Amino acid sequence: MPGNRHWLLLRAGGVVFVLWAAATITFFALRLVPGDPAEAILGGPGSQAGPEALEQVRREYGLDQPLVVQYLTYLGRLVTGDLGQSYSLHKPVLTAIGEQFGATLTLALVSLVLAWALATGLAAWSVRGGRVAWAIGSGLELVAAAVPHFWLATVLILFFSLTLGILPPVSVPGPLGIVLPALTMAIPLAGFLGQVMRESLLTAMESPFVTTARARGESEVRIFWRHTLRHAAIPAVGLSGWAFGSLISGAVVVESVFARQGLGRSLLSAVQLRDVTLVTGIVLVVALAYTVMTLVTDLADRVIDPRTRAVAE
Amino acid sequence: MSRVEGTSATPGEAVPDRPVLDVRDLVVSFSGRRVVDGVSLQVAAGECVAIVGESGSGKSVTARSVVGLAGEGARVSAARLSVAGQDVLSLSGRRLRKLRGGTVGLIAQDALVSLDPLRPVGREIADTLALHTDLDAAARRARTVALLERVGLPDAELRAGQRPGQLSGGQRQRALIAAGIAADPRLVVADEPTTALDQPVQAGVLRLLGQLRDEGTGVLLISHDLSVVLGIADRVLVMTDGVVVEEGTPAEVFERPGHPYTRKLVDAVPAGRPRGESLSVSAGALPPSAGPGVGERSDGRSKSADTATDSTFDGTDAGERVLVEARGLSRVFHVGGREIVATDDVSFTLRAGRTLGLVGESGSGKSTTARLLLGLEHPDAGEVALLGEPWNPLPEARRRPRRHLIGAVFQDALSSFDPRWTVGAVLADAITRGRSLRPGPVRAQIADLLNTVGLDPALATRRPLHLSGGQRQRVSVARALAAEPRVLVLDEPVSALDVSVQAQVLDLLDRLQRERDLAYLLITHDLGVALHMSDDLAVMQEGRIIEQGPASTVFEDAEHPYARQLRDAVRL
Repeated sequence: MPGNRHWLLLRAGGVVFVLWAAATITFFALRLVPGDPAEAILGGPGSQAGPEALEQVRREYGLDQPLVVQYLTYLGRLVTGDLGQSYSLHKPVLTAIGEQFGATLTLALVSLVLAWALATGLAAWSVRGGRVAWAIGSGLELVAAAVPHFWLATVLILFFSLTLGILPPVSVPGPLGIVLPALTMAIPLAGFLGQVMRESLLTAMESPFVTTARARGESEVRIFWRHTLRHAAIPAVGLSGWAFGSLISGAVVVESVFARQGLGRSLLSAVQLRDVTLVTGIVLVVALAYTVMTLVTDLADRVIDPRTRAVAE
Repeated sequence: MSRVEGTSATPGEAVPDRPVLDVRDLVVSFSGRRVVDGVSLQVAAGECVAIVGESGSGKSVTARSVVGLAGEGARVSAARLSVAGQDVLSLSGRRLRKLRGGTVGLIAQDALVSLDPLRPVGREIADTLALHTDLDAAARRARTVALLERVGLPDAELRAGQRPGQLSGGQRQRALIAAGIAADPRLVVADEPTTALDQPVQAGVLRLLGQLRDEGTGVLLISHDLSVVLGIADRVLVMTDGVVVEEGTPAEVFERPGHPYTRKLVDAVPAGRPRGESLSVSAGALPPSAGPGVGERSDGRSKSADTATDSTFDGTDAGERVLVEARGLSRVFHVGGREIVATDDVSFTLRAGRTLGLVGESGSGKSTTARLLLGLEHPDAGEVALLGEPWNPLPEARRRPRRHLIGAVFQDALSSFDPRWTVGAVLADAITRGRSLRPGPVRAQIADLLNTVGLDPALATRRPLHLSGGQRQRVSVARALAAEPRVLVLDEPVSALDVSVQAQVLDLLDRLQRERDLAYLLITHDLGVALHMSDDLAVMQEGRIIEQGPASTVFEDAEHPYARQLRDAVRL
């Protein structure tokens, strides 16, 4: 469909713009941080580096050039996919991120799927179960949405690892290791998604088209899967793009608590070590993942709700 | 799901010609309140039985009980409730679902969401086929297209792939009928199948139901509008408060109504009633301050001459003063590279104390015309003059001081109010128009306005949500009057109301026009309402006014085919 291609091109242009903006903002923001970057590269103010060493580092990293030149060089490198060298890890940033990215992406996606399953189940049950179920459902969602990650992580470890002893308290390789970290991130998100889904599910279930479907002999199960769930999913899908971003930032805490490898933990240590290039690299990759995910949810929205397509054309 | 309580149904004794639907002493209650109280009715194959009543009369609940869909929390009991020999009350879930759509087709009232707005309409019809026939996917598709053709939808192939939002109201209603009859049911239950449709479309839908009946299907038709069922029903049941108060052939019910409620319904039908004749029986329900009695109406427009003394123009012929002059109004919308001509060279005149009725099917440009008149839309060509001075096009800042001269009343009263405001706040807002006035006089004026529209001033503290449809529409009339306008635009003012409430609101509008010498532009899809209310009539189609003239003669020598179609629809 030509309309679709046009739309996709436009959105891809948007992604490029967001990435450029993220790169530019991080570049200048880090230059605004007080302190000499050359000193940071050599290990911070405490390192007592000599003037010659500083001068050499400045020349090596191009820090003696005017800011505009530095910025353009930086952008030029980004275009070719060169994110620079990490000071703290002594290897290319891209390599460092590549080693960590898979773990975080897996965690975020598993959490997202888990959150959807929890939210859908809870919403479907509380909508169909009468007034008491409705109250319980909305209460659970409110509590879930309000719990902080670090507290939830601690409670889950206490219960599943220390009391029941069925799940490992720290992340181990393999599918078992991801359960608790993913649950920690999925439960608050399920609270948000569930609140949105329950409302729209109820609206859909009270719509005349459900009566029409019942009157042609559809079973309740088929009505749920074919009609009402689709309506309920529309706002939740829209929320998922944002949710993905929040999952990645949530990974900073969760990966640290469970001692799990990943981008979040790398970001935390990079900030502590003032590893400017690594921080910039991670920010860019997260921005990329976030915009791509938003694009995906918008695409999904167009599939689920054809009306949005009609408006765009 | 509704809780079904079976009272033992007598097993079918050998009746030679057993009716398709046999209901004896049906009682439906919601949390202890009986909304259907002992209704009995039979529908034979090839017969059309109509239930007429207003909202809350229990007619829809009766219809839905037939397929076990009375509603959430409903308790249903009956001495007999059988469809094609099956006892509905004792059917299991699976058998009940087989009955729905298979033996009984339910045709719902068209609303944008009577069909799933996310799915193509063809899919909904194909679903019925999948549930009740052994056809494979390709055969279902072919059958779907054939069904859409059968219900008179042009370009059936294309339509099957479109979503409800892409179809017009009439097309959607036809698609709903196609879905209802897809599995060749022996009984069709049609719940308000023509409400909100333009007259010619309405006539088409009724013809289609008549056809079904002639082919041997039993038809149970539910309507709030007595005039709708006249042409098609073999028998009519009149329901009010959950009870059938009258039963007979349409001729018997319409010409010799026995029950006072039936008489009220019959009287409320505006079609064929001369201008100015009161429609509501209970004219005495209006407060005494309501002005001249209904009987004084015969003197035509003489009242307007008395109130016209404050006129600023030389009204030599006071009753004929021109308040609005619209000339050559054109408006073109650009939607996705296409040009849509909403109005094309539309000209008309509104005079004090007179009503111009504007009729036409949806999409013909009626509402754009109203918006141009209200100055909410900028014309591409042409102009509107208000009281002899330029009005549209004109910058809004220069229009604002005279805005109060034109008021408007819309169809959906509820959504035109801020739901958090009380009636009093709504009216105070309209009275003060942003000026700061002392609260005392404003309160008095609110009470005055509510009295004028026949409402208890105590309602000022209520919120619109807690009012009935008729009360809400009275409040919107009061709001429109608050700024003391000379011209009122009435955009489908009674379309959402029951017939008897509609009659009261029409009578109110009629009285206010006489008392205040107002000029009306009445937009309606209901030709009966238009003919009853209007002095002059304009028929719109595709953005143009194709016929215009005195209401009594405009159709007499109508040349335009659409105008003739309208005329014939009214005679139906």
